[in-house]
Amino acid sequence: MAKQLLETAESVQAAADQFAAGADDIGKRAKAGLDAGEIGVEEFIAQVAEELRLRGQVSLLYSRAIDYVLTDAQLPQAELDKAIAEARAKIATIKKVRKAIEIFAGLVVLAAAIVARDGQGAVKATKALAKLAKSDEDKPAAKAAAKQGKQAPKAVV
Amino acid sequence: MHRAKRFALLSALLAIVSTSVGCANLGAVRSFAATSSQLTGYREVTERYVASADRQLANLPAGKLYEPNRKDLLALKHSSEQQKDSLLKLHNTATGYMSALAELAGEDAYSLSADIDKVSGAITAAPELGIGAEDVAAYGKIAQLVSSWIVAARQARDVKAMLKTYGDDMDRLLGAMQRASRSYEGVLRQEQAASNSIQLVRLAAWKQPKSGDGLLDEARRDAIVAMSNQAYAGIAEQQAKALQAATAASQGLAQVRSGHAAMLKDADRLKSKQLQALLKQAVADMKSVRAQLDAL
Repeated sequence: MAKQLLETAESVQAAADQFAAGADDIGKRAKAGLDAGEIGVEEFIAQVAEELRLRGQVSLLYSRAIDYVLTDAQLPQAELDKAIAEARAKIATIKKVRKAIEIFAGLVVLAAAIVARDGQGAVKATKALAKLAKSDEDKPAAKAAAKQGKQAPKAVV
Repeated sequence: MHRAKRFALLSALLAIVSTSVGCANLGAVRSFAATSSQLTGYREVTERYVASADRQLANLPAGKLYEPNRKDLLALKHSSEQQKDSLLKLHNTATGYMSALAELAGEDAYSLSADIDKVSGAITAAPELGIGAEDVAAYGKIAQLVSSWIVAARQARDVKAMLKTYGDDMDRLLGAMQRASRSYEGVLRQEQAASNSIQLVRLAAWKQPKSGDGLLDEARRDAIVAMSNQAYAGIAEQQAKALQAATAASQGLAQVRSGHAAMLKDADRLKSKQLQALLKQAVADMKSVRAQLDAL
């Protein structure tokens, strides 16, 4: 039963709190005894050593509580890492849509240049599409568009 | 007739957008998530906890009397150093989640207006395709309205889905961090109390004359005691600040957790005035905690 009580972070911290209060008492009593002349310096030093010993154990208990905390946090932490990845993927999707619209805009310009037999305009639009093809996203689509642009009329009268 | 139809379509779209645009009113969520992602002071306090054993070992008097304490402090040093990376990873995950939520709820995260403008501009530049400037303006406007309506609804849906799917996990993680902070405070408090007692021991030992002290008369003893007290005052001040920082970090975590719980509870009504007011207050409180920490 006592073992079960000390198998959660909360119960270990509660135990640590109690021992800490005990250490505080030892320290206060020692100081009061010394100040009142009830104990000598040697006895005072011995009592403080006892207080410190207890405080060391209290700190270890708080540290042990952290072990439980870390174990309990493993599962939610893994789930949240997934959540972060999903959110980033959603933002990336929107960015892809933006890029697709940008490519579409470039294609419209290119189409207009082809219809108008504007060679300079076609070259400019092709370069813009080629630049998009170099970016990380939507390489295949932009590359295909840029390839198509190369077949546009080269000279205009 | 054709123009009238177009006008009617535009008006209908405007009406739809004006009623649905509230779905994207995520300003309070965004601001709360962005402020929370700074998770005031947790990292600094974690570092302080991990270094506590080293500081205590350095201050512990030599002698067999203190061997049990030294042994426990070495064990504390070992365990806290082992925990450090995992503890900081808790922080990274919590801040990463809040940053991702803030990004997802971002003002321009889902906006396509600027991109649609590019298409409109491109069409305007192509009169050879037989499209007039008037048509371009109308189609551009429609495209913007429809896209903003669709993406606003999608953004609200995505934010809600993130909260509903992972909100409980985030709450558990924040709870774990609060629990860890409680242990930090416990250890730092022991460090402070131990340091105080050790100082008293040192002073008591100095004040007690011993045979063979020779030239250590009372005046010289007082001078040493005064110097020791002065040095200790600096240490005590640092320890008090560390404890204040730990308390402030705990408060900050409690505010993040409480604001997040409110968002989770009202995930279907993220634009409700009550929730927005609560989140704004949480942001103000977190900024106040940050200011306290900066002052330390």
